[in-house]
Amino acid sequence: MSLVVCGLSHRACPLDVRERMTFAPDALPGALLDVRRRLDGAGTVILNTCNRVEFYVHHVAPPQEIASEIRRFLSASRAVGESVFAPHLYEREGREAVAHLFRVATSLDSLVVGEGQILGQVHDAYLMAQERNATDKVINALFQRAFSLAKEVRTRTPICAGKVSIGSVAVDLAVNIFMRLTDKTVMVIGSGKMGALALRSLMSRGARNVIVVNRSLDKARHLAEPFGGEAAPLEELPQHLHRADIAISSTAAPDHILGPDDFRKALAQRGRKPMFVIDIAVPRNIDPAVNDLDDVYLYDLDNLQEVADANLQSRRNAIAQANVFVDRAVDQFMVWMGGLAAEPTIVSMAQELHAIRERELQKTLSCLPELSEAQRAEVEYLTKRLVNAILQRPVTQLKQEVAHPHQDPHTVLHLVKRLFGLKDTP
Amino acid sequence: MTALTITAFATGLACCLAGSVSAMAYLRRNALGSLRVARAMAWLGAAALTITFAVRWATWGRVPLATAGDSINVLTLLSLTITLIISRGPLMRGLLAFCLPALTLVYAINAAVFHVFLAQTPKTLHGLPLALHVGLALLAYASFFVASLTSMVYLLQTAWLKRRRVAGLMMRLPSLEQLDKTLYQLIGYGYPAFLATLILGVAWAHRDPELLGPHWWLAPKIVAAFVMAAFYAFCFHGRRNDLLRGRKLALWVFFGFTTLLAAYIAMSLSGVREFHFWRGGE
Repeated sequence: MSLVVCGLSHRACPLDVRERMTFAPDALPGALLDVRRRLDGAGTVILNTCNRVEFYVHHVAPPQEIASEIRRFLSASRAVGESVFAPHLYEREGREAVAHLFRVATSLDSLVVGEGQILGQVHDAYLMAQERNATDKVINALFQRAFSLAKEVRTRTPICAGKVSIGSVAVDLAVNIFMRLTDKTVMVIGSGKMGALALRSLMSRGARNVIVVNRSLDKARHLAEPFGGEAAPLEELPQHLHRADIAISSTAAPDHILGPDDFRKALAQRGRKPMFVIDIAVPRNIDPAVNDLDDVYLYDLDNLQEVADANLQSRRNAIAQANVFVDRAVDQFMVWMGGLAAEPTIVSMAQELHAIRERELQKTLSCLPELSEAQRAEVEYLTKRLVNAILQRPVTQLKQEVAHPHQDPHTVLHLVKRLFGLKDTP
Repeated sequence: MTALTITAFATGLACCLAGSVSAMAYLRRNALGSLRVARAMAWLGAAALTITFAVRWATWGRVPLATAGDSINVLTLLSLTITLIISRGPLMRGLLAFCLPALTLVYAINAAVFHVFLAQTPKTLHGLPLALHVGLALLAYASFFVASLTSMVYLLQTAWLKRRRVAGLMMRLPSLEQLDKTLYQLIGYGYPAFLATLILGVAWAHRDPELLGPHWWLAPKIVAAFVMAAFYAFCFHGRRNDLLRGRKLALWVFFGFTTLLAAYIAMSLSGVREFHFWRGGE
């Protein structure tokens, strides 16, 4: 039996190829059934996200055969010649395939290490396959282990520590300044895209009141309306500044539009309540000297980026820790897989030894007719215990040997069969 | 009973030390389990201190408040309880992790310097008003002490935010707004208690002028108490009227308390603080 992963991801495949190979969400169930039909009902999961399209298959066919069938399927279903995507397609089998899924689920293979979205996407992909009876025993165990591993890595390593996007860093900082965002007023100065993104991040964390100040009042209204906010012209900025708990500035003004004096007045008007000011304009809209004022916390684009980079670096530092968990989980899973492969041989070995035990037991008992029923039962129990104790170590060792990456499982199993004189098992 | 007192006192110290280690583990690694352990240990420490106080009171029939050891014992107990109460919500839990080691240090200093008080008879306080006077003073001091620790956290948080040093530890401390509100509440509870202390003290001094002498109000201890009352009145009303808030309030509270504490210790060490009016007990 082969466990294979075959796919395209952001690591090796350019975006223009990836966007031609991804499936629309409503086309996925059909694709899954098609792949299974081509592979005679093999256990299959398709992971389809904006960064990857991957096929996890467990099947009796050799890995090369499975991979070439998936290539043919991709070419036919996406109407793209194999030569377009084949150079970027990776094919992994056995231990490598298991390690790949575990790295994907723990987000070690993600564009942003530690991001949480991928685990949900893997989960959805698995659920879709399971609902259509497209999974088998190995695929089920593989994905269940991937989910538990991902949770373990998230809780026991700092892989998800700190935010890595500008918007979420801004929200984190706001939470360090304000008790809650629900009663805070967010002022957006300018109607730039970055400002709108930062505003959305803050609104998603509970901010309710919005004021958009812009040179063009129409654009200000356009940005404020979806949030039920109010719009004001740029000339009125000093009059509204004191109302802002959080101010996001992203105008295209060539000079500073707000300086320390504006904030001094605003602070006095608002009873010295703290202000969080995010200046994401280039060139900067707000005089950096504003940060020297008590109770005003000014962050520009570089400051936010530095925080995001530092968080990303600390996540990268956690990769080594996470890899330890992944390696251990891969070893455990391979032992379990090895156990599956060795199972018929183990059963046969146990049957053989118990047959010998039974034979020898009968011989012994026939020589001891004076034994009572209870004593006979005790002797029988002893022989069973002996055989089981003798079997325990070889069974464990056999599972590990079969799972060992540098060991040919067929050779190991063949040797055991010869040692114990076992017949070939299917 | 002395053995029970010493056992309770030592157990409390052990609990607070264990809690402090857990609190620091939380600050270092953001392990919420460590913070839960710290909180449980702090409650056990407070319970042990209560037992110490209650057993001494029951044994000798006197409220144990008058010696340095007893006063610090009660001050630690009140500070610990106030900290546990204000840090019970998720928004403030980081404050416990920061304050517990500081309170444990006070506890440990008391154990190291004044441990003999555990085996000694508590000094007599002349009547209930005087016991109330001392008890309320300790409650006010505990509020002001926790307020000074809160202001220290505020100053750290604001310094990190200003320097854009967004470290893991910073993310575990409460928000500036929450700290400012807590600071105001602590001063708000401590200040009336301190005013009541002063009123009770003055009433008692007037009732028995021979005991303290005619110029009792010129004693350094009394002057220091009035300076303290004026200082916290300034902080309380400044914050109430939005004249003093945020970093400025934190600076005033922190340096004000530190200065008053330093003056109090200096007066105690030099002997000028006391009236030498305590009677009985020995």
